[in-house]
Amino acid sequence: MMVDVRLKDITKVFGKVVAVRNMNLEIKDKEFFAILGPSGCGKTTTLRIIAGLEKPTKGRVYFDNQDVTSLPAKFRDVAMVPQFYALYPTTVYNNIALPLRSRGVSKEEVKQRVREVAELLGLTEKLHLHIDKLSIGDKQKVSLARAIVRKPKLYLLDEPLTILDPVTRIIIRSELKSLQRRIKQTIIYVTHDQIEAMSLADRIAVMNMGVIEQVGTPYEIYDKPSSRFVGWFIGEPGMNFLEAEVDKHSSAIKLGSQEVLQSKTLVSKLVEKTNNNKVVIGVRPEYIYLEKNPREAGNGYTIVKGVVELIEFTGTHYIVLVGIDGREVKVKMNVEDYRRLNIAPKENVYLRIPLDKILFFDPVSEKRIL
Amino acid sequence: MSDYFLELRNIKKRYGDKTVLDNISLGLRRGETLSLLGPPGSGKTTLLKIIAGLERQDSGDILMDGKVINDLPPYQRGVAMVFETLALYTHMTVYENIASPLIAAKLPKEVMDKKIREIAKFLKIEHLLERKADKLSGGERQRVALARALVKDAELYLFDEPFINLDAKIRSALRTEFKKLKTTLGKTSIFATPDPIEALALSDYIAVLYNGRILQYGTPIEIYDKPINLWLARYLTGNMLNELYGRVVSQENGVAIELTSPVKRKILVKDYAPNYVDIIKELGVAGTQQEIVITIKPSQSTIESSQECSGLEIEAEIIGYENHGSEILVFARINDTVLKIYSSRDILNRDIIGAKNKICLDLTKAVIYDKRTGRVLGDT
Amino acid sequence: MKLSKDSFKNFISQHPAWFMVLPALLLLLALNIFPLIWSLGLSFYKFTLIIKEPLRYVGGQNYIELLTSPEAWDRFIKTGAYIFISLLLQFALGFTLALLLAEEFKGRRLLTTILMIPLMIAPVASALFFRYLLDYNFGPINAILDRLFGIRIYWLGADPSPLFGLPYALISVILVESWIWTPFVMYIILAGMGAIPTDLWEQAEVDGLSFWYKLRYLILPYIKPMIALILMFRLMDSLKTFDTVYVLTAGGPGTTTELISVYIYKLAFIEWDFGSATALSYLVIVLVIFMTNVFMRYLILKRG
Repeated sequence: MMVDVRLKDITKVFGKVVAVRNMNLEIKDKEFFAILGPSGCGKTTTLRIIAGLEKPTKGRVYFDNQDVTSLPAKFRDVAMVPQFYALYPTTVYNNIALPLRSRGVSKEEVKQRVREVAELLGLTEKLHLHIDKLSIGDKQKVSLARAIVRKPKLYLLDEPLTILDPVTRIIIRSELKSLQRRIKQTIIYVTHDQIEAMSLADRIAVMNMGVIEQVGTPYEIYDKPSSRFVGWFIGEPGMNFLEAEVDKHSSAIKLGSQEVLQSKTLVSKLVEKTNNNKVVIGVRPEYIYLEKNPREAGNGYTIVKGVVELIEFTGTHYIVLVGIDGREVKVKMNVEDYRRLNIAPKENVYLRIPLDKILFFDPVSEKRIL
Repeated sequence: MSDYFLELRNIKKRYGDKTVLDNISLGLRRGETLSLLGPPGSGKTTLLKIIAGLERQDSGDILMDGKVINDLPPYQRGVAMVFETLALYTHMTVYENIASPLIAAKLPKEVMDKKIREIAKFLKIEHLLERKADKLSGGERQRVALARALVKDAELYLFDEPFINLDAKIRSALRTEFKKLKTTLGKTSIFATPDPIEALALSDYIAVLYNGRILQYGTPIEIYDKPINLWLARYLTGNMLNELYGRVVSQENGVAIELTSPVKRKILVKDYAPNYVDIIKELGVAGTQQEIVITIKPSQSTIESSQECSGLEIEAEIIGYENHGSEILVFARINDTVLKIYSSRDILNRDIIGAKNKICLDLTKAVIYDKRTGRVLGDT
Repeated sequence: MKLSKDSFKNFISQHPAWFMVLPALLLLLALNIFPLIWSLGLSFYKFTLIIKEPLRYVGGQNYIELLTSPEAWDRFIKTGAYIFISLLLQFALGFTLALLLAEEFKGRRLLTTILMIPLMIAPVASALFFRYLLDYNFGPINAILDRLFGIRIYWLGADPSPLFGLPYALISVILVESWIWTPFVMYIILAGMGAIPTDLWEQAEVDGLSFWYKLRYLILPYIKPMIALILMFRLMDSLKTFDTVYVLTAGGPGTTTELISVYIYKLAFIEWDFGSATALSYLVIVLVIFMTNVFMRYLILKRG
């Protein structure tokens, strides 16, 4: 069975609110595809449009080049796993079996397929229990089993792990990943959790305010965010953004009074892509090293001077907020490095930044230009 | 006399036959931030309400600047509180919401306006001032609630899980902003939260509450580096702790640990964790084969096969991972135990799921607990 | 110790709650509890207003007489048949209507409001209204039947109907009662269906469950407690049916529609036999308490 999903110029309006705006998206066959974004970004609406529970105000939905825009949900052969499991008030067995029985699958076959799926998800012992007797983790497994048993064309998962406690979440997440390797089906997975999307998906679409900001593999999105939003949203803490000036004459890029780097080719490229002499530098907190004493920048690095403003301890890391001429940069350090460095607020520090980790964004459009 | 601004002495509170707070004593100096960290039902909110004067303790004293304030009503205590539910007036604008505590203080209009705009600027909600409160997003509501609490010139600010129910992203952004605010304004505050990361990141001191008692009190680093019992150690890492079980045995060549889970192996303490020799020896001398739990945080182990392992080497099967961008949290299983180890992102260059891998646990960084009592070893 | 003014004051200040409910408590005692006990006492006496005879204690004789009287048994059986058929009808119609109204369609709101009308009219008025509609000579129902099929039916007569041979008058009473109460059943079932979470409906939609599967595994489990509740209410209410019957047929012709409550009324206010009337009332109360308990135990309080 093959299915690729294509959304063409989809717009969905609820009253005055535009939930999804002019969306174009292509999801390949057998892909684990994540739609990632903050709450209210339109990701669930997108999923519901694909499921057929919501009709787009404008645009078409295609499954394998077949227009399914006005096809009701029950004829689309998709399975959904919602955030709050949505189980029928009956036994585990019935919950998994109902979609099959309702389709007229023979009793013997239903029995066998339910058993197979239960085995797969470790629910065999619990088949005869009423769903009220299950833990939340098991309920979500039943919801998953109910989807798998149908062998649908397409799986739609709407934040299915959010309500689980962290440990169960990690276990089910691992199971989900290995499951996909076995069943080899297209899965569309909606989440607000960047770590979940990065851990599970082959490709991710990052959404914000009804618009897709970027589509790519986890590391494409992490390393080369297409906009400030994506850079900020992916990573904990998100990318730092610093307003900088481009000096055409000296071919330098400056942060206030400090020169960050000098490169003729780079500056001419930047000047070409922006209308004025301002750019926004983007750099991830984990790529910056802090030093107490000024040293030679060395090849491939630049050194910027700043003042420690704030230190946050998160257990696994330290996050140091450094002020540079009225701008703020977060630096993420591991515990040992931080303790070796031994710094305190108001102290001067030197930030060593690898040049190949610096990205440039347009200050107006907020899109990445280099 | 102590130099505490706020002091709690033996606070007790019962609801019916349930003891909610049992002998809580705490002190807080001006300008400090204290976190009350604990799971739901540990008594955090009740303690905040007692400090605010919204509930009365059954016994014990609350002192401010050395004076007992037990009988002062809430509005005379100089306390501002942000509730978990963020009770904003939904039919009012953001401006009116922030103004509401000032109106009661009968300030001149210009002074009020100046204060409101200042705080709004600080919390980056200037552009929202004219908007109705019910038209705000979660993060915006949170900021407005913070602004409303901070605009009032209170001596003490109480926050009851103010960042709960927010997306993780907005939560961490607000956390930093909050800390900045606190450092800049120098306000004294108490912050109740069930989230260890929030407590670690925000506070000068943490009081861990458990079943109405203070389990441990100290700076974030003291508490994180040496949690007083196994429950707290697990809680602080979000159950991501690696645990090895074993018993102490004495040998001719020194004291040793006979590991029982997840691997069976006998290790000499002086080879693997010389810093623990004295503490373990004391247990070994007793000759009772004391059972212990060795805990190691995910960040204190390595999985790179190329590196030389000076700690305990265990071979385990990788069953999954969590992609944090620059780092990968790897889950590896051995004999029904799942070990969690941070690794660099290079590990994803190959297909790791299902692969056997050597894991190196640095036992010098371990924290060891008595299995029977759950208490940390070497704690005086 | 002597009860002084002070100790009374003390009692009040220590138990203010008692003091506050006192007026209401007294009123309740005077108007509810006292008559209840008085009438219970009365059921053990021979007491009639029309024969000048002193109150005479007869022990359980009233009860024994009633339980052995074929007349009383006849009324019980009649009432049973009446309740069974009318509840069946009300549930079947109410449930069907609720299922129809659960779907979104044009005019749904209007229809829902219109269906409220029978509940808004006093049952006495409804009954009166139907008495004219069902009149043999001048009623519009017979006029239509006559025009279409050339038949007229004694709707309020004692002729046996095709339905189990029950007299037409009883059938009419059942129809009128059902006309009044079907919307009630429908609204409560509708409310129960409103409690089914939207995501569960949608899940059933995506899972492609057929109507029967939705009914069996989704709707019924959710409205089961509602059904038990209305069943209990309707059962107790039907046992008390009086006003519609009284207006429509006054229990006649003969005793064809004399339900238990009408029978009690006749015993008390036509035969003036208060002893038997109160005794029968208590028998009915015992029956109601028994049935309520069964319902509570097996249907409503089952969980936990």
